[in-house]
Amino acid sequence: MRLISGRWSDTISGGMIALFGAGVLLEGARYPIGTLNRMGPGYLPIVAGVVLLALGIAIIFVGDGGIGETPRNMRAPAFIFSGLIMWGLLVERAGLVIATAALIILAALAHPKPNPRRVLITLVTLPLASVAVFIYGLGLPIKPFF
Amino acid sequence: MNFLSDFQAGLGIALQFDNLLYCFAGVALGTVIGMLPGIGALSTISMLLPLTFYMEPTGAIIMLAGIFYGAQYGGSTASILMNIPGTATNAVTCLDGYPMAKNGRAGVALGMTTIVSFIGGSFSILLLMFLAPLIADVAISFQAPEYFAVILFGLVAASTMASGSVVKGLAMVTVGIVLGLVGLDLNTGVPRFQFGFVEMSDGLSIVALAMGLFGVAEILYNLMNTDGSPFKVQDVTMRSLMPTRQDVKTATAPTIRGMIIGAACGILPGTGATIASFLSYATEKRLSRHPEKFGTGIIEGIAAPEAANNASVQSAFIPTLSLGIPGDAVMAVMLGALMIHGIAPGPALVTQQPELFWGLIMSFWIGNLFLLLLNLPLIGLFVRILKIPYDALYIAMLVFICLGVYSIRNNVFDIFVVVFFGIVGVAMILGRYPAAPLLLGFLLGPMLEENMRRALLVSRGDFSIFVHGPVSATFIVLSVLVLAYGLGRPAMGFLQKMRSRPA
Repeated sequence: MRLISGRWSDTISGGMIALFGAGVLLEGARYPIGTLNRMGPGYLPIVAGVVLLALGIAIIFVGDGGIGETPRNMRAPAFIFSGLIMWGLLVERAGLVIATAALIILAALAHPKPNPRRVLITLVTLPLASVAVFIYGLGLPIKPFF
Repeated sequence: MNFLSDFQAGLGIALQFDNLLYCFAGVALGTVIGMLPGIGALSTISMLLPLTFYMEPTGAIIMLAGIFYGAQYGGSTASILMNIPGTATNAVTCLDGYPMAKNGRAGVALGMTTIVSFIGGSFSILLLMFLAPLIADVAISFQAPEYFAVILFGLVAASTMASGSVVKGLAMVTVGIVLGLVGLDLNTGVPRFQFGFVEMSDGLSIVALAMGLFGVAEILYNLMNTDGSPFKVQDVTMRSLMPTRQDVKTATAPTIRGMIIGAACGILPGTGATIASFLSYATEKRLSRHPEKFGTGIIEGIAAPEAANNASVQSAFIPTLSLGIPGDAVMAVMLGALMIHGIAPGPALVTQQPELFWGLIMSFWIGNLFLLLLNLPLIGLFVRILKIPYDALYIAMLVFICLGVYSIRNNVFDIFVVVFFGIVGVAMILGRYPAAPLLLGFLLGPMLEENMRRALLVSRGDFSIFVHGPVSATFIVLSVLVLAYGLGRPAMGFLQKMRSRPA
């Protein structure tokens, strides 16, 4: 399975960089540009925006073709990122133990063949270790529970 | 010359019990993560960075540095035993290391790579001891134009010499510079690219950025490319490590060439250990009387690149410590660590923080001796680490990433920064965009802007100030040449393509 061909990935990514450059340019133009004698905060953003716009367009034409290897496991990003977001949402509300447990379960599902026994072991040891090291050891101001 | 007393004082600091312990912890951890494919020095150092806030700066830097050069020792083990490079810099070692293992000479390959690693590393530490203070001495008179020119050269070199497309490298450096602009402008107090987030007024956190781009993206890349089956590893005994007299004889010249190439690559900004190892392998193949034997498991094919990558990581400290300008992404994170500890990197480091400067350098000797010990008698023990299942490892890494990023300023905002850059990082891997130039741009961008502003203020807006002094003029010319060379090839290719295609 090939998601997009190398050529298309360059077109898309080059286009995204050009768009990003245009955004930087527009936002940078809102800051005072200053004079060469006294460069304002807008000077470098405008230069960088123009450079990115040009490079983005160049990549569309002379890129090296992306996607060296075709990824096999596309569910990994979904689970890993939702695990990290979950941890961020839960850690101050539900405490470190629950946030970490949620991260472990979601992250474990990212593996193509999750091993229930090992996941169970990490589910017990990792939250305990993090509470011990980070809350009691380093004095991080978060609660273990709620 | 009071070099001797400096060395002695540094050794005294490196031999303090705490620092010895940190040094050992660093190199041991470095060996482990170097061996394990899928976790590299960069992500480990960024993960441990928050923990070092609780440590004294010298010990912290000694430990972080130990992880970096320790990983070079460990990396070759996975290359030889499993044909999977433990870190990117050991990829070339697979070419002859794995065939050697298949021919039943795994032990010799492991023993040899450890010995040449030590030789390569030692050579560069010697260079570092004598060269870094000299460069710092010259650089102490540098003004804004000189800094601007050197930084510019570093950025241009990092983006054009990185493997892959030059335009992509340049784009990533520029994106990094833009990301470095985020936050309050120091000169005017204008908030830039903040979009109303108060959390961003101090700029983006380098730890969050590095963990997203390298840590999370690395985990994801491995998960996306695995079918879930564990690695197979063969056991190694201490007896099998001894190379024969013939092996030593054949490997001597390649080792010397490798360490010279490596040291040069490390000093130059933008060329790191990966390029050093590839370059030295290619050199050996070209010089060899029997180039066709490369790839079948000959000792020259592992000695040269392993001497080169260790020489390179050690000499990479020369520009970082003497100029305050990092040559690669790991050095950028190390420099970030120094700055977080309130130490201003630059040529004044030698005189203002001699205990840190000399203590760190002398700790390299101790660390390399530790590594020799860890990798020769204890290799059998370490090889078992390769049997750690990746599923247990990456989950622990993710938990550590969350806690580490959160602990910097007790703010969940940074977790979402990690997620954002994790997504960007995966997209970059898929599109074959190099991540190291982005990190360098991020760290050097603000320095570039600051020095450009200062220089132009002095010259009243006259750009010719950048080519007045001999040092700045040289580096500006070099930057232009490197840029022209880098951009010339893709431009020519494109023109040829257009010409050959009927309109």
